[in-house]
Amino acid sequence: MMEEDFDKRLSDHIKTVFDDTDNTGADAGWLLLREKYPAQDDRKPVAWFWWVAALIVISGLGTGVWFGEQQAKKNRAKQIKVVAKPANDSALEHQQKSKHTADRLNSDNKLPVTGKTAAISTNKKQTAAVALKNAASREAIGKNNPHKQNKIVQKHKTDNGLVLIAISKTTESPLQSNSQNNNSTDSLKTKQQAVTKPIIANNPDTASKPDVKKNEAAAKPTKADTVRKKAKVAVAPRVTYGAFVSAFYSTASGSDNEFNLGAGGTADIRLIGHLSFSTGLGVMRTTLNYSIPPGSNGSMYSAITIPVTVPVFHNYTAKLLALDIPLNLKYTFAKPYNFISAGLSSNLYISEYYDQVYTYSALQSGAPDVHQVTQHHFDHADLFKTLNISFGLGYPVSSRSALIFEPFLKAPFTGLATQQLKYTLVGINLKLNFQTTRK
Amino acid sequence: MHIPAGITEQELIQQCKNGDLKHLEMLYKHFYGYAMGIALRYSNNRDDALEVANDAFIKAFGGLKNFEGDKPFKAWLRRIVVNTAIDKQRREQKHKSEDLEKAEYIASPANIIEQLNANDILRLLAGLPRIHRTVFNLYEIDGYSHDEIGVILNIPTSSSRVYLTRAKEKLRELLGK
Repeated sequence: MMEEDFDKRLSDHIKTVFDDTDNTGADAGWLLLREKYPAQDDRKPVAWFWWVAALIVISGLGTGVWFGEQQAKKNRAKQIKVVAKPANDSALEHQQKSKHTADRLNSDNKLPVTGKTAAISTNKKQTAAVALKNAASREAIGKNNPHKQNKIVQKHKTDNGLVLIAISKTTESPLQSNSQNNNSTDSLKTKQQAVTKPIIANNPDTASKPDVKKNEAAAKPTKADTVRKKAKVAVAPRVTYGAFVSAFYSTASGSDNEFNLGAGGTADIRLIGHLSFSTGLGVMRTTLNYSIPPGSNGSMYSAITIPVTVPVFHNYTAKLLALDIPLNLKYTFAKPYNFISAGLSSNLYISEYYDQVYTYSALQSGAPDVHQVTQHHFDHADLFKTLNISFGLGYPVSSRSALIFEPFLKAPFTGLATQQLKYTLVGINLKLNFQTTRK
Repeated sequence: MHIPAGITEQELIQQCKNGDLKHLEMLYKHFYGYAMGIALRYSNNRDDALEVANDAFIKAFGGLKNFEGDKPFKAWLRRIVVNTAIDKQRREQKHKSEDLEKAEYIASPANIIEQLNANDILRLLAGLPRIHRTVFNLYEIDGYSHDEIGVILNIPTSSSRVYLTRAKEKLRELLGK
């Protein structure tokens, strides 16, 4: 009984003592926990990072393709307008005229005329509407009569935007034997339908002056060709691609300036006027080397070793390999390759290596250095936490490419990477920009 | 750290469910002492205890969304800390052999119990074989039944009873009773 009472008192006392121990180590404990916890905390952002990156790439490509299509459409429309402009205003009118002429020729002269008119819509959304009219001659064509055919091509734009290409074939035949009117040859000549310029050149005898005037449209394709060529030359590409290598210094409070390198690719999508949207993907290696004088308490790294004793820090090295995805707005000056650019960057850390060197020499003289190495792989992402500012000076290398020197600054808003290091990158990009050919 | 005025424990937990880091820190610091109190009893030293407590908090943060707000958070956290400590013991048991007689506690006379501070108790508990100490903690301090202990430690219920009896005997012996 006494033993039971003793046991109960002991248990109760233990409960009381340990019910809520002192909180003196809570701050240090929290810092220690944050070493493990951020990795879990940031798993979602890593997933988000990939989604956002994928979205950016897809929307970038989509925008580029869309702009390209729009531009191509405009160009096509311009070219068609140029071709169609000199033609008659109404295709229907023309069709009627053609029909009339054919009928008159048939009825008045009793000539065996074969008229063929085709109306072709070049409007992309509408399928080609082909209207063919075969006006068969009322009288059979004599087998022995060799026919001379003149092909007439006319393009017309109707009120509803339909572009019609009218092809008329008139058969000129010395069918005097079939004709009851011997004078019909003359009237035939005057009533004959249009003859195109090349045909005029080839068959000067068969064309009359009024016909040439009527068919100016057909005679002008050479001008249209010129305009088309000009239009082609005037089209500037929407998307400019580039590849770069970077040389830069990483600076941070308490760290030596470390020289680093990077490389990657960019895509600039022209928005309006001189403004374009610039994005890309770069790989950057950043090294930071913090030197803490011996004897200092190294409090800035206390999060890593605080639990038991206070070590004396000698050195702290961070080596980061990160993917950099910038989203910048770029303003291009009159000179085509000079620009200023500003925006935000997101980083995904491929690998993080931290080496902390410290010793307990404050407690024990001659104690060896202790290395505490921490490594992470694809554990952390920083979304839009870095400000990008840069300007570029470009020199054309060829008609479609330019070499650009781009000094840049990347400054973080908050601490970056798992260890929340606040470092700035200052350096220069050597970039080769090239434009793709638009077909 | 106490919960700031104007915010209840439930509200704090609700904020933590949203993943707000500042509120998680508040929650951690508010229950740190409590968690450490449990972890220390199951651990060999303060470092191990802190590791247990932190691992338990990380589990708790991860499982907060499943925590039902109408139940006391302390009880829920206690269970997590205890489980974490036992998991850690299991892991370590594979690598270590137990020194059953490593500690001796020099007892002082009567009313000894009331004079024991946290360190004394820890030293006292450290004098027990690990399995005895764990069963003692689970049953006497944390309120688990022998059936539950049997399940947690994967031992027969009768073994749990035996270990508890031996733990008490050893403690009495160490305290000079």
